[in-house]
Amino acid sequence: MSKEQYFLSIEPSLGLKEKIIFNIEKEAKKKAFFAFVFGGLTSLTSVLAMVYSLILIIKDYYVSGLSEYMSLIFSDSSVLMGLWKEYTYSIIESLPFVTITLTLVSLWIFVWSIKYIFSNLKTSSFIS
Amino acid sequence: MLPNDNNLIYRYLDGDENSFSLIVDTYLKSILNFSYKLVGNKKDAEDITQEVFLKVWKSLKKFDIEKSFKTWIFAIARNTCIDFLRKKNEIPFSKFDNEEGDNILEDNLIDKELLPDEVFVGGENKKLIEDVLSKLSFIQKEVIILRYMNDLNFNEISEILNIPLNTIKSHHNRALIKMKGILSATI
Repeated sequence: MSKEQYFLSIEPSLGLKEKIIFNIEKEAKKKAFFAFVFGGLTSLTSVLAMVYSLILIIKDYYVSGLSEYMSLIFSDSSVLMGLWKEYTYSIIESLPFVTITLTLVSLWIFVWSIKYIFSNLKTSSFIS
Repeated sequence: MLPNDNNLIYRYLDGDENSFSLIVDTYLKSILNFSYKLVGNKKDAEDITQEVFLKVWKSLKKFDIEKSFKTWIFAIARNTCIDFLRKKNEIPFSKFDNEEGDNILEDNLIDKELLPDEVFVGGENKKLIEDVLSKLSFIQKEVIILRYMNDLNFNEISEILNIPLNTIKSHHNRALIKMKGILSATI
């Protein structure tokens, strides 16, 4: 069905393909730079949040009485064998859930931001 | 065997950076010429072509690999041309055409079973065909270029222009009638 021979057609100017590739490379580099800045700031913030939440976990560990429960394991394990159910509940109750969640979220954000930076650095290399 | 478009996309997304360069090689001339026919200026057509490939690169991850890449890239090119013409306020419509590209005068013409060969053989002079094309409505021109210059079928054209199949066929018929009329008056 092609009637291409009946139409006037133009040839691409010299260097048009190179211009296209150059524009894409420029865009890829820009994208990678923003990803690096955004990912870098996010990972830094998440590291700070992780350090802060770890300090809170240590504080909570002593305040919640969890340390006393844990020391029971070494001092009177025979009592624990009999009351293991109650002991487990007490341990769970005294766990600092909020700070543990905060730490895990910070850790997840950190891992995600590192992954984000590397995936963008990988796609930023566009070779013609 | 040459790799098909979707294989090239697979390979590019899989990390083979040269595949995108091959995609550019495959479509550079046809996208440039399609844009040129719509905007009528080589420099603008080249700018549009650059923009089209940049858009393709940006959205390649979102491209549905089950669909036709050719249709997709022509749809992007078409939209980019329309955006460009809108910015310049230059979307040309014949004064007899409504927004759908329907022409009230041509609806009354009898020659509905026109064969494309009749039209094109009648106008073997490329310049003449070019002049005739410029007299078509924007949509009619798009249909003729996509059908005869880029070898797309009506279904693909319907997908690119986002217009129902029967409407495309109707635009096609009207365009051929109009072309034949102009050519027979000229030759």
